[in-house]
Amino acid sequence: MKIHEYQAKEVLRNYGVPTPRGVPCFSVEESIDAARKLGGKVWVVKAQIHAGGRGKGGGVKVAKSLDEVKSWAGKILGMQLVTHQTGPEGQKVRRLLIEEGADIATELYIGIVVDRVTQKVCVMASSEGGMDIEEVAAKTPDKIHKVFVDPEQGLTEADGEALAAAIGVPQASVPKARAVLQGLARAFWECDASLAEINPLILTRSGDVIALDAKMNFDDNALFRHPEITAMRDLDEEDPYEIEASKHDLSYISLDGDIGCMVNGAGLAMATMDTIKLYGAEPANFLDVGGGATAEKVTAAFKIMLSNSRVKAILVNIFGGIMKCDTIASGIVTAAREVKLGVPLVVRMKGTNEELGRKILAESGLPIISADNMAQAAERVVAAARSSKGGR
Amino acid sequence: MIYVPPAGAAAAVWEAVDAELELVICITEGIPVRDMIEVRDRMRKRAKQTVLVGPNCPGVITPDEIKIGIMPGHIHQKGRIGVVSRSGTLTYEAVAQLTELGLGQSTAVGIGGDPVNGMKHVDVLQLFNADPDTDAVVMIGEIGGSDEETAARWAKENMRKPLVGFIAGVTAPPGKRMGHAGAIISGGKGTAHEKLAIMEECGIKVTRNPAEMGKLLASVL
Repeated sequence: MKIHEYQAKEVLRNYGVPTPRGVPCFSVEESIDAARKLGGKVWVVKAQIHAGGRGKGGGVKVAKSLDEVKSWAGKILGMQLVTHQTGPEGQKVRRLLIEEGADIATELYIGIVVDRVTQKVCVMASSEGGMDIEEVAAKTPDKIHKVFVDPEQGLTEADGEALAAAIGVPQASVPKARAVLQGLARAFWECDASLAEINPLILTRSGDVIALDAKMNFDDNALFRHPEITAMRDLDEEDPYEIEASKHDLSYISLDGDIGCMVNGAGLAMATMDTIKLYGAEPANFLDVGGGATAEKVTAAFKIMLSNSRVKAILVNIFGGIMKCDTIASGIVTAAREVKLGVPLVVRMKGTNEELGRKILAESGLPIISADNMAQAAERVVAAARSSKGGR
Repeated sequence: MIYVPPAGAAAAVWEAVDAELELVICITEGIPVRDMIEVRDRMRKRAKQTVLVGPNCPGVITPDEIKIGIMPGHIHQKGRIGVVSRSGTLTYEAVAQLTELGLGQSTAVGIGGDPVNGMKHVDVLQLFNADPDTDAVVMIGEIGGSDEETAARWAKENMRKPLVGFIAGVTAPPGKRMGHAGAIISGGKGTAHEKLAIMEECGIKVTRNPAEMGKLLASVL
């Protein structure tokens, strides 16, 4: 799960990480009010969307008067902000963060991820603040310093200070930078984050160390023990199909193609998408119904796929293990009756109770195109999509 | 074999490891990554000898001998081909193809789709390499992490038996978690193309068509 910058800063402040003073705002009036209350002469108007590259996309502006705050807030709120992470259609800005201006002397980078090879938390730091860390890793990998954290100790003082010194923090500010690194590491660990990044982390001319930006993503599997973080979820930032799917505990990702697919198992679901592409079409989605799908879940999955007007045909690929083919078949029959299937449906079914599943489909009288293997299924669904008008 | 729900599964794994069990297979999907980091760290620090398979895996089967897992037994057939995979149903897919071709399987190992797990591809390849009942191996991977690359590089130097591969997720978009917690292209790393390229560089025959994993294996025997 992702959260906004202002929310990540709230989390980090609880771990002793200094940030500029700021107020999240939902309207121009709130923004002017916030700037007035913050005081000072310079403010930053920052678009809050779940994507990076906001500054380059025109979503972060410096205002030197309350009039400028008003003008920028008016322009940014409601705009479709396009960044390298949003796709060409962009993301609508519904929230702003109004912050006091900062006195930047140096921009640095710190970030934390889980390293899968060492199976430890990896703290990264770089002198190249403000740049994409992937770009730094590609061009100047020697400028990224890493520490692998012992899970029982957490990030030690010595490691924190060594990292701070390695990225050029002056001696006088090292204790402050170390505290920020340790705070970020504790926040990452205790909140079950999957990514925590401060980019840039700034040094001010007076030697303070401040998180000018903040990004945190969380491990979905651990949200059950973090109601305070779950409460920060912003549904406006998520794909409506994916939201609907998550309500039914379905794993769904929207894609750009026109073949809907429903599969059990993540690996097989990806492989099915790949096969569709191999046979000349593009998948409209990734959909794993999981190992415990019921007829209700299958119906929900069909409704979601069919609500996408681009879908011209549907491929169901099931290899039953704990998932029984007859359960899926009953679900398909119920769903097809309930939602008035307007596009061709190709079904490939194998594994546990496959005969029973095929029998249910055959006796339903539904115009289902069956296939014996994945290649045949992909070939048939692509052909069906080409001759289908699509829509309903 | 552990089926304990996610919130308590890592503790169950540790309990089994602490009791010095030789083999622990964890089926549970959805365990928080932090819990697995802690368990794996403790296993290393206390030099535990337990072999952990999973979590988030279908288990292990040696046809006609033993099944510890949730895979459909009837699709398997005793044979001399090893199968190792991060995905459950994709393992079944490969197994069924091998059975249809009359090749069968020596052992099929699902290592699971989580980012922090026990056995990796390379560990299973080592076992297959040493196994007198295995003649050749199908290795199935997917986007995310670098386990397949590590295994491919090891195989180039050490594998004495034919090895073929498939990687799922050529069409997966970056930055999206594709069902499995470990199946994500992050920072441009862990793409299917990258993995396929390295496997080919290491002399492993790969197919882009998951319906042809069995055929490809048959072609290298």
